[in-house]
Amino acid sequence: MSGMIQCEHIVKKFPGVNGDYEVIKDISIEAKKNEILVLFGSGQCGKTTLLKVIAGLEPVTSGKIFINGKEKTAPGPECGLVYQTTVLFPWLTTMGNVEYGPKMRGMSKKERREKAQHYIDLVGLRGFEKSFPNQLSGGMRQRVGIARVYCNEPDVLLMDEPFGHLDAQTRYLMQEELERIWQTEKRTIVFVTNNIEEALYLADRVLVMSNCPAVIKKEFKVDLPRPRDYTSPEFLRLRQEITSIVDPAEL
Amino acid sequence: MKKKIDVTRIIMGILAVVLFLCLWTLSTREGTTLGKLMPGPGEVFKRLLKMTHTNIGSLTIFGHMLNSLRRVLVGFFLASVCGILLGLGMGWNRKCEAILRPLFELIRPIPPLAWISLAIVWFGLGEGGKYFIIFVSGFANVTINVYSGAKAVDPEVIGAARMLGCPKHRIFTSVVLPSSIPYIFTGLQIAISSSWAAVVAAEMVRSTNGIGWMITAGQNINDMEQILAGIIVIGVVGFLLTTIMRGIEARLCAWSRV
Amino acid sequence: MNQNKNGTKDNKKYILMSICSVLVFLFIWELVTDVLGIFKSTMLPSPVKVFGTFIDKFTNTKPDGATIQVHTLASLKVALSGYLIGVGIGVPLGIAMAWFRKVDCFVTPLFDLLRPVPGIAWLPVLIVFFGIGLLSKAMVIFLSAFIACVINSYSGIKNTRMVHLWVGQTFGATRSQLLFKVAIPTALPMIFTGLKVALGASWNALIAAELLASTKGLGFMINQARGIYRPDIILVGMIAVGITGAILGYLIELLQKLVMKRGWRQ
Repeated sequence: MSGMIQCEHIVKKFPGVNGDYEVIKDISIEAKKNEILVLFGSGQCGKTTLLKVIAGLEPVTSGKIFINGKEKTAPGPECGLVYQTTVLFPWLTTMGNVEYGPKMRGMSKKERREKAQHYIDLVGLRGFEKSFPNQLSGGMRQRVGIARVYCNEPDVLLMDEPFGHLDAQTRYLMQEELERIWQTEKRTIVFVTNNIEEALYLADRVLVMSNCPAVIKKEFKVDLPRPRDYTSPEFLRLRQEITSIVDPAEL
Repeated sequence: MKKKIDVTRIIMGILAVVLFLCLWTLSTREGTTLGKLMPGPGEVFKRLLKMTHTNIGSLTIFGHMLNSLRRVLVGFFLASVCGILLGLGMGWNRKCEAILRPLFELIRPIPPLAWISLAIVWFGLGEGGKYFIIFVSGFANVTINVYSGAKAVDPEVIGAARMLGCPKHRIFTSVVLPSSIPYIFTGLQIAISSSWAAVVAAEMVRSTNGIGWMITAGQNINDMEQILAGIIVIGVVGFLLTTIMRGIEARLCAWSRV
Repeated sequence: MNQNKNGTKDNKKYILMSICSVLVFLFIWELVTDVLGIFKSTMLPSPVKVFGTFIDKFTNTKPDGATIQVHTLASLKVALSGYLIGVGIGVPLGIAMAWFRKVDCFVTPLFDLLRPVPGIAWLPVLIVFFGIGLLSKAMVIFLSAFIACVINSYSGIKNTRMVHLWVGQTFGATRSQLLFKVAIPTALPMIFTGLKVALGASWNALIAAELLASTKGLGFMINQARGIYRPDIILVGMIAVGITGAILGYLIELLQKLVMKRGWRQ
């Protein structure tokens, strides 16, 4: 069986003042069904661009992307993206944001309300259905972002440093939450982060990426039992191993 | 702590207004030069009360007020509808922008009240000309604001909508329109006050009733009390109109406040 | 690179569309007036005729007793005197109202009483006081400009970030230094917005004032032309008003660039 996501030789260039600027250089990725694939890399190494390309929000310069066997050319509901800073619809309530996808597909009001409520409960936002994004905290907004994408039942979830802007405490909490949500309803997730602990806590596989232009340096398989312990010897050993191959100059 | 500050504010405010009224009364007392030209606040207030049950020209003060309000609301409504449509069109569709923007920019520098004479030539002395002037006064304000609103739509949000399965042809109603709402209201807010100013000016130039007419009529018969009473009514109605708009805005745009 | 080329090509296409749009507009205007005669020239004169009248008005003093330059200068004199006084009083007052609490508490309620009354409504009162000369018109314009200046300078100063003031304080700035080095620079963009809004308002009020009480000026010219059914002169007047207003607006824009060129982000 071929993977849920298949990216073949993706190249992405942006036009610049001094000729083209290469952001992604020949990347091929494959993710299996219900796998959490973490792209780990420091700073501005084109990870966001890679996710946008996979989501169809940016056109590729060359290469091909297949989601669930179908070629991806335009953004659509089969690929859900959770943004770095939540791009929620500010004029919609939590409920409105979460039920947006099903509504666009023409699902009846009763059905989509139930469904949205299910996911709002799942991310732990019961009681905040009627709040607007500007009334929610950063962590809560990210939860809405996750619920919104989950509720749309995409084949693939793409997460672009979703917890990057949260404080350390909330970040740990959200990592645990994401794991719990994923355990309840498994999905294929591509998760981008620059935090090594986050990567190891969540990943089935970690792809270490190098800086601009982005290429994949090395792949690590993580098969520690879930939920993982940040202080277990295996965890620390893997952490050490990954740190050692990241070029300190890039950090 | 905060409440205490508010109290001093209110006291100071009342003090200021009272002082102003005292000054007005004193300077217009009998025998002064200003007193010959201007009535005191008491007289104006008495006149205002009297106007509620006796006619000025053909109507009571409420009749004049309703006439002016009707004109404003008709013109304002037309201006809002056209302004919102044009603004959204220009902001969202580049072809629409390329075609209509230069025409709009040609007309925009002309002050709305400069249209009065042309309006009279085109629509005669009746209501049509007044509606037209009010329309012109509100229209540009609404258009400009809605236009910048539709231009300011965050492309990330459009991307998010596409990613969640919103088809291309529905982006407009599902993203552009709602995210422009705060801008629409800014435009409407400015438009309602300039429409109110326009109706006063238009009625001053040509009319047989309305608040604007009331003050020019006062000027013609040298009746200062009537002029000042008219100005007070203009101020109160103007204040109410903007307050109502602000109230509607606060309800509909709660999500956009930081 | 490809995208870039497409971009400039697109832009050219849109500019071409804009030019065509204006031309088509003029063409249709000409078509429905001179060519097909749908509108009589006493209702809507053709663009050719308006242009002709415009040129003619530079030398012809009929029917309103002066050439267009004379009228424009007369209007400018009234408008600018009112406007400059309005700015001169309005901006400092707005700043003072926002900066000094006592002034705020005392003056703001009075200002709020004045604010909802459009400047033009005071014309009858002013005429009784000062007659129909320059002074009463200048006062109307003064009031219109004044209100816009106060509102914008006030909210400009009120928008000063507290953090910036705190930074100033920790460096030991005095209260007047805080005002001149922190608050006013922060408020400058808003103040300039106020100047522009005030300009529009005064220009608008000027025309109304001249329609009501005047013996020269562009508003007077427009009003005279209406009386004798010469819409071509009305349109010439409107165009002159529009162009003059646009030039004044541009001058303020220029002034803003000059004042704010150092270190202001747009």
